[in-house]
Amino acid sequence: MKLSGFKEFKRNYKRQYKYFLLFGGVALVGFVLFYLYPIIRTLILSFTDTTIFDPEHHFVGWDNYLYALTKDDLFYKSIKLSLIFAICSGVMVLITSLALAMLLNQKVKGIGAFRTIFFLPFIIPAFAVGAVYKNLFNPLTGMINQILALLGVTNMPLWYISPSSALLTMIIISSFGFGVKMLVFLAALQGIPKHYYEVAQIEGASKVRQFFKITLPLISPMLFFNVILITIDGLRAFSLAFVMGNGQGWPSNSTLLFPIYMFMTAYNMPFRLGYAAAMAWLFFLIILALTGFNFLASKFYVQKDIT
Amino acid sequence: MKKIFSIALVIIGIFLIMTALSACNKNDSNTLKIALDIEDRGRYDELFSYFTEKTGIEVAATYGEDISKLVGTADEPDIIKTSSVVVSSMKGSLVDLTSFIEADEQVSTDIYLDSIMEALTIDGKIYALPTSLNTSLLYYNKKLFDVKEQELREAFNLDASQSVYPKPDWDYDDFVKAGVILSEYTIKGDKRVYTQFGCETQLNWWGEWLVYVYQMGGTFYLPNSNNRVSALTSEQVIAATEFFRKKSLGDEHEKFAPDAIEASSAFSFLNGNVAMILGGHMGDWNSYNTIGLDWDIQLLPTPVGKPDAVGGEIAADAFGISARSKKKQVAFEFLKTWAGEEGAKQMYKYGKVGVLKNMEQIINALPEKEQKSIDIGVVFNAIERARTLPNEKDFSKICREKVMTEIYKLMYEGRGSEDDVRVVLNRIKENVDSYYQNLYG
Repeated sequence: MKLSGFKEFKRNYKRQYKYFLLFGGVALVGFVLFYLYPIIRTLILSFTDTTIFDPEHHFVGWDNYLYALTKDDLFYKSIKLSLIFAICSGVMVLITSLALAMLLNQKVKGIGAFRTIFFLPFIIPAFAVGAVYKNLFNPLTGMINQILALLGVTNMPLWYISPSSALLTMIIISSFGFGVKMLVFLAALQGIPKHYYEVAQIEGASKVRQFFKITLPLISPMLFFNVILITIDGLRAFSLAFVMGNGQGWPSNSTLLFPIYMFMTAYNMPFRLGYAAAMAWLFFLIILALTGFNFLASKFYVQKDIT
Repeated sequence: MKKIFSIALVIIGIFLIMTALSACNKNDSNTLKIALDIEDRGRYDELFSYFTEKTGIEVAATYGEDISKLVGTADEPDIIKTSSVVVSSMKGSLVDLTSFIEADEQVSTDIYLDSIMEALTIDGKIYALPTSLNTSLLYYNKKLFDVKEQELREAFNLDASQSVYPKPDWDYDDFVKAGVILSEYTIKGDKRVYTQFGCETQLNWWGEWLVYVYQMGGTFYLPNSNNRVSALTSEQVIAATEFFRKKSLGDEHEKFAPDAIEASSAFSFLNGNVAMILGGHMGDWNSYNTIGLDWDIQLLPTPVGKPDAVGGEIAADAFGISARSKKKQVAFEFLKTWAGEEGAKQMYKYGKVGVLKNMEQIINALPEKEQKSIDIGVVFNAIERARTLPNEKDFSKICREKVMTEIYKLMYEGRGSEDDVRVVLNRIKENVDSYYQNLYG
């Protein structure tokens, strides 16, 4: 006897609900405690004048939001810097991670070792990486300028010392942040059947044509995934900017990415937690809009079925 | 499967209970909690034992934890570290100590330096008791001065019996003259490549620049403006900023400090390749001693023609009681010891100078082995010429975000730099004033 859909669902539910509780419940508790509660609490805080050290706070309505949107020049500056950083470093990371993934997808002796070597730097904490790069890019004693001097460059870049080039330096450094994205691309590349290329080769397609007609369309779902990941990573970038900018957007607010400004507002004098919460919500809306845009744009480049 | 399910459920249950229990606060009425800096680890155990012997109350210290992340949590300490600079922003979490002080015959705030007590008192309420002070001084590396002894003698017309170290009556010309002598460089192409500097340049905070401003007779805010309108385009501030810039970027007869580019390359007093610091921080004394630097202190040099110029900064670390503490009276007992003579003696061992008016006498009465090798009397003379920072809670934010960000651009040459002090100061004034305008209308 075949059960109707609802009855089957009910029977399966009774049989499996405990597994749902076991596996889903724990995650749900974690989500409520560590995500939902802070999100709601931040929303409430954003409508108050709370400071870290003042237990008494007052409801201020939309004041914090209005101040950020109409009066705080550093709010706009930090958003602008974060967007520039996210877009530029995002493009660079996409290019470097895809290029490296393609290299690591070759049949070369010892490829496993190469893969390990390329991924190894990403297990080092970002703070340590930032400190190392700071030494490399030091205009007077750093290795980069010494190499440029050997190549005959006379007008040395000031890298992170000058407000005009500090953000660019950070973008260059972050373009080496390909770790996980490279692995995602590598997995996608390995999933492409080899005979597609063989057929293309027989038909006389060049390597470039193969890349644009076979590789790119087939990895486009992963490309989309990486674009989302990179956009959000870029907008939330904190550790590198904290190290490079001494935790305060140094020099001259030129590396004052939004997360740094928000952190400074909450945890430096005069500790305006409520205002920082409002800024966080405004920023969340910006990230949401950008992610939405990415989803819409994906319709034009993500190929769902190319066969 | 059922067995595995049960085991998994028990494990998760235990995990959740443990998590919940770990969040519970051990509220031991016999223990006081205090959060101290990481470098204070173990330094005050003797003082804590002394207090325990006297009162039977244990003191549990944590080190290196950011107080702003402890407040409001189960780990919030009973005794909270603050300072004369940040107390106005922290007062919401601190108990008003006035009634405790009035009720205790053994305690009087008259024993502390008046300027510091004024800074710790807001609207007539005392929020903290001061423990150790910081005042601006001229720090110098004796070894680097000794190496240049002959040149310094000639430049300052000193005979063999006179010391070549900085004098209390030095003016800026003397400071520059000595600084240039103490700087060393080689010529590479058409550029000077420095290997040693006469003085440090402090760019990460306002300390050094503000000393010049005050000494030149300038102020940060316009008088009677309720600290809402800046006075940063006055002739005195312009002169101070020009001096600050020239010291780092002047020609070979004026430059004796690193510019922003050179400052990023390990030139520092602590590294032993810079001979002096103007301003400095007394909190660094222990580091200087730890690395074996041969150093001493002198009064700040003064602008030419202004031998009585005031303007060094004075501030103090202070401790208050958490508004959420359940042991306020006990905490106050500890605060008395900590901010009293016993605490001051203990802290002096680690290079911290108490804020007590009779601190000089206390130090002089210490046994020979506990005396410092530096001229400690200078600190007490410097205090008389120093002033506290403006009592304005946004002051440090403004200096960080609006002032030093622009001053920085004057401190090097190349892409993104500026060279017109007046233009930069005008921009700073506009930014600072519009900040207050936007904040308060």
